[in-house]
Amino acid sequence: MKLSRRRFLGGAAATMLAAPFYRLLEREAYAATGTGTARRLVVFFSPNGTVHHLRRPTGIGTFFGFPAGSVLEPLEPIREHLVLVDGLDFWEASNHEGGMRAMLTGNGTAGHATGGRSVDQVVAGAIGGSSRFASLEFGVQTSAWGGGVQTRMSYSGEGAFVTPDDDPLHAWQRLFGTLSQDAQSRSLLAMRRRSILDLARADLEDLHARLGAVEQTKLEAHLASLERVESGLVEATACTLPPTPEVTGGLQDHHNFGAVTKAQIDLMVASLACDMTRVASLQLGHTVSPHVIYDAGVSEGHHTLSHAGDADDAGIDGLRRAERWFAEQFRYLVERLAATSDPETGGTLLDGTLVVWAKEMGDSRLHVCNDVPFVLAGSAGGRFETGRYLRYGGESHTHLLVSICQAMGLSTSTFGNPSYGSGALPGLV
Amino acid sequence: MRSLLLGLLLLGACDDLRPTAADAPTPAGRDDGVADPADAADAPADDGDGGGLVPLDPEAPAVEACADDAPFFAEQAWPQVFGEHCIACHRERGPARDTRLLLDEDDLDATRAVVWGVARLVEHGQPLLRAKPTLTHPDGHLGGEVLLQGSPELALLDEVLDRAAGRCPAPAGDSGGDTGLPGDTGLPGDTGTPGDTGTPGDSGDTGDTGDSGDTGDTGDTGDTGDTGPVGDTAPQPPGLCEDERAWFDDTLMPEVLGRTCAGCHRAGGAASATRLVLPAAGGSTDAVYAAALALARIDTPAGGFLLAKPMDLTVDGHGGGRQVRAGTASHDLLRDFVLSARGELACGTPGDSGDSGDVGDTGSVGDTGSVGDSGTVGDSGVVVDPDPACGDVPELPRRLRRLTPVEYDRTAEDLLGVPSSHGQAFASDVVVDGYRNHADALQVGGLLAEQLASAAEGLAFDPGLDLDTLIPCDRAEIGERDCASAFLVDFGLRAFRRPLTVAEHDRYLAFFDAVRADEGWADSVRWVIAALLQSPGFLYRAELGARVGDDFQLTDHELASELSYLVWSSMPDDELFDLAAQGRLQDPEVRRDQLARMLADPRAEGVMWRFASSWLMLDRLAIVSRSTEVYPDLTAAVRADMAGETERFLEGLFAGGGSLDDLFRSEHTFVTARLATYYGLPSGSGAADGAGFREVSTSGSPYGGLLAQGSLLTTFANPTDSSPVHRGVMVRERLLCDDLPPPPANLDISPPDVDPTATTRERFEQHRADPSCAGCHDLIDPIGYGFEHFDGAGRYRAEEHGLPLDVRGEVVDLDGGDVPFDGLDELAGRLAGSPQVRACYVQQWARYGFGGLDEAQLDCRLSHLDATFAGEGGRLDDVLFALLGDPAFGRRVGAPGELDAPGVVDVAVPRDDQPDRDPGDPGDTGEPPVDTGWAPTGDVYAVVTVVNDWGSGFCTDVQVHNDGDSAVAWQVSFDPGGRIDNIWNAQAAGQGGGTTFTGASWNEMVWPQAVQSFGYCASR
Repeated sequence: MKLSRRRFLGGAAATMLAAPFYRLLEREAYAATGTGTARRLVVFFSPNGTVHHLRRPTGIGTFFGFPAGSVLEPLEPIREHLVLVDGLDFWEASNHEGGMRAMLTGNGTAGHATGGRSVDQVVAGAIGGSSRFASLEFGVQTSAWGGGVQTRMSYSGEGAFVTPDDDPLHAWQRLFGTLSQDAQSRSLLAMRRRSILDLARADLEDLHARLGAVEQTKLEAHLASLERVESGLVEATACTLPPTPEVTGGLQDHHNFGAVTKAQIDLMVASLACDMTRVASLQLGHTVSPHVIYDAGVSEGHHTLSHAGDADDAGIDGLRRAERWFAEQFRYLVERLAATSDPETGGTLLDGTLVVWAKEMGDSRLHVCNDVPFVLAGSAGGRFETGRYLRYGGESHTHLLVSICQAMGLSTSTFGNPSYGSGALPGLV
Repeated sequence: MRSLLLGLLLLGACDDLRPTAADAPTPAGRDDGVADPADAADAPADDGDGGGLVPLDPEAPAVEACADDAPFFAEQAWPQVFGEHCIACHRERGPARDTRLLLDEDDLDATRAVVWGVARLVEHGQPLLRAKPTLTHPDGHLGGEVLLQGSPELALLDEVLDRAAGRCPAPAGDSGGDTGLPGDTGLPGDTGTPGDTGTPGDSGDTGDTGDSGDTGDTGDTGDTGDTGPVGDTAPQPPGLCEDERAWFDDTLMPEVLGRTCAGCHRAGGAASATRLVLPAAGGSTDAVYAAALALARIDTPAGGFLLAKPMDLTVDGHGGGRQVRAGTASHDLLRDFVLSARGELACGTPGDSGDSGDVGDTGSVGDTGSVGDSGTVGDSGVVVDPDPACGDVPELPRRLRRLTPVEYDRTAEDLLGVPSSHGQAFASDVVVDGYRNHADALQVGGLLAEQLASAAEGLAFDPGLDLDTLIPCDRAEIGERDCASAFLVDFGLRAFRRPLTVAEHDRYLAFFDAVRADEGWADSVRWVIAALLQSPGFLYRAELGARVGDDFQLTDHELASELSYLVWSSMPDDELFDLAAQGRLQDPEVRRDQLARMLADPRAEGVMWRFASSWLMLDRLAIVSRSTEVYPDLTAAVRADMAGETERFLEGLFAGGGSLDDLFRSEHTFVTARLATYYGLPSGSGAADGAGFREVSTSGSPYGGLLAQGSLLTTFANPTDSSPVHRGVMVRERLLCDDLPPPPANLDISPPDVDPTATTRERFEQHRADPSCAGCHDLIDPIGYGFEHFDGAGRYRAEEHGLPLDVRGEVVDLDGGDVPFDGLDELAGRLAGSPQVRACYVQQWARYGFGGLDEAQLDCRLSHLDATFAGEGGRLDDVLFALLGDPAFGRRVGAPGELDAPGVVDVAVPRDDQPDRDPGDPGDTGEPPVDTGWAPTGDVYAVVTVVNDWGSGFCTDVQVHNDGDSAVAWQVSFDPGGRIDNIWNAQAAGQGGGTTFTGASWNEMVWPQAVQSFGYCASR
């Protein structure tokens, strides 16, 4: 019987004293199904739902187009790489929080096969083991309100957030900081840091002995974090050192939103090019995000704009422009992946990567999670026929999450709450 | 259709009804084996052939169909029940499609067969088809709609059950002499659902006016087949207290229903379509009394529906509006009524239940004695009666509190003497109730662990770090390794805020040795510092304590940290460390003296601001979105000045003995020249402080008092206008501690568009005319209107769009009444004198100070804390003394089973009955050192701690202190309390009281003001 990590923690408190102090996560079943698979997963998020008539493409299938001025029009140059998916619902979810929680977890809980984890973490659990970083989470201005359901999309277990790194400079240090040193210094540094992790672990063991039955979750989380730090100490594969990100001004300054976004995309692509991770995500803001996308020529907060009524011409236009700006960032990401070579295959990074643009709600004015749009980029090794626009009629989006897992080679059949149905999203392959 | 609405709880479609683990309330009172909705939600609705599932009547052969089943189903049961309500989820693609009740509106015959099949199933002694939607099934109903007892729908459902069991209805005209409710016909599985106890009409359907009055009819005892809702003792609506009706009118109506519920549950209110509709003031209470009785008798897994519903414990929750929380007077009163209606209340103490808080608390432990103010007469003249049930219980579990980013930086600065801003960049923690220091939320996640590593290395290798100030020895004199050891003892104590254990000391010394092999002395010490800063010993504040009886008493060093982090958000200073080492912090008087001393220390500066920036959510001021077109003057610099203004104002009041009255009504503030211009105030006279602020009188201006400060007004507003809603919610939630639920989903809650021909108030009043909004917004907006002379950027305006402003408003339900006011000054005055505001101020501090007291427990403690606060005098800073006097300050409860678990370590904790611990007193010779012994040798003495004791033997940890001025080769003598089996880091010679201990080679020296350790195990 497979036992999820959370379940182990919750159900085995009484036996913890006798049990070994910590255990490694069990790996997900890793068995390719279907034909092609991708080797890398990238999740891209932009907030506050949408207004469908501003966004929806015309046509269907391979015959589709982007109306002039519409939100997705900036994707025209990369349409050959895309699968546009409309009409999926987040079942049993509504509003900002419900959508944010369900978006990547499918409302899974500890008792479900996915253990309440988000799709990026499920995939990382399966394929991230051999990477320096099982997954990397990048963010832009996600944390001014603290961590919470509104501000987090990635879950390592039920209710357990994975915090994105909002600071490109810090991310650069983590990823590439030691690459400028000579090999001997790097190795000495890694040895010191490993010793320190060992000391911290030993102190945690001592603390555990004093704790009795309490606070086990906290110690387990701490130990798991040290594991992640340690795996990050692995010597980085030789690769081109990307330039240090240049962001002037505060990370929380709305005027900086665009600059930080670009820096994070560049870092994410560089980390994939250097094979430091196989699973990455970029979270732009968060639901109810107040950010003013100055680069899009608007001066109202994004959440406010997302509530503009159809009669509010200025508000609707502001939202349209802000949403187009997010589409431009997605295009930049895809173009960068398509322009970067994959050292392993000689092809491009995009060839082996599945990129998913997710949103947390459908119509933002109504706070509903029906008809939530997704955009996929990359064919997952030929698995998906790209250059298509698919429309569904209220199916649970958990089928798409299953499709993503299967495209990454997992044998997943249900994602999140299994009562929403099993199997991949029909018509996608 | 109207009857349908009345008979059903219509709460939208399947969406959102299902509780999730994250949302599931966890109030007190849920410890009685009640199924957790979240658990129920995880379980499949029906688990196939699960145990306990038997056909309704196994003896019966194939059941004959009734002749008119098909038309009955097609014309009544389907359109009114299954096709109207169940189909929403129980359909092919619906959330409940995996249950056995799969409905298909296109094939009613097949669907009828399905329904009849399910109707014959019995689980847990109840017909499944009835138990599920009435919430009497132990697994509950996952979501969706619920059928209420007594509703026409349930009657139809019961008829389905009858028909499926082969009990066909008699020909018209023969109702079997019963009341005609199918459910009462003696269905074997119907073991007395409570709704059946009354007459058919008394289900509280207030629309049936003809029924009003018959609730008092207790003569309907004909349903002897029904055993009644509880037990089988009473033949009548059991146990209803004699004077219940009068008590309902005199107490429950004015104290609870009319106050808490009437906002929505009234004609025309948001909850007018529910079964509880309260009369207009002065109207007859007959109908609502009947309804309340019936609702109280409806079973839910969490008890009577009338109580479970407003506590948000029913499967579909409470749709909106105000709730009733455990531990409040409202809760206790309502609980008594529900228990009485269900025959579960011991009657005979009618008068008592009017006193808030003391219902049902008989037999609780006495007052702690730590606070002698029970029964204090509060400011309002009301006798505050601390709830004795909460008096002496240490509510908090043993736990670890990770340093917050603020605490990390301040601690690093005090520990190392270098400035630190590393914490500011740490991964954000989960914010709970606005606070960023909730113990449960403070964990070390993946990203943070990496940031902590970077920060530790950054601090340890900070060029400004002067190692000489940290190293207590001359390595040239005593050798590098011994000096490193001495450094670990000294610095380790301060980094971990307690003495290092021997094992820790040895581990870090070994690390020093390893680094020293490659690198120089200084870098080796720096690496040791980097390692210590990443240890859980540094990162967590322990609240583990030592066992005392059934509780755990925080150790002296833990208490030192409790004090220092409460006031300074940083580590203890030398005086606290000294007192801890002397075991003196267990004395409440010493703690009070220390608190007074610490408040006068410069490090206390900012304590009120650190609290209030979370309390009032002013930590969002810098980032709230504001239109630069509408408010071009609101620059980042002005926002920073606004924060500086409030910081100085609050800090000044807190340090200067100010009160809540001053908080709201002071006629001074602090401005920079820039802010003075912005506000239109004079820029003040006298010397400006370092940041350019001067104190200025607000007398005669619209400014003055907390509520009129730009920081608060700007934080709570919309991007392009002011917001009566945000400001009203702020007063409700932050100043009155009311819980407001979020607006329901699927409701467009966008603020009304800006309209230059109307004032903000006019636009919002229009908005509020919608009855689905008014229920909650009546509690909110009329408060917010009082702020309308201030725009969305905190600036005074005499009018809006040239239109005059109406700033009259009302605080509904403040201190038990509705309080009208005209303008912000009057509102501030009302709040300044409000006992509710005072209690909320204490409650907010308790949330912050205790780092996450369980809210239900906090409710329980609140009257006690509030009384203490009032008893202390009600100055703003008195709240810290109130927290200090609370049992939660120094004591913790063990987790279940923890007391017997191995590995729980008793650390040295002087007990109250311990003799004088003057080191000069030879004291306790002859007695085994079961707790703490002092064995003085001049300035050197040992503190012996039993770390494990199994009766026939024990192990100890011994700390050898040197209080003198010079390093000595230590030697201590005391009776080890038994035969030494095993000793480490020391040698023992001699026997009994003459046993002498000397150090091992590495620790034989103890430096001035330092500690060395050894340990031994002994048999008795």
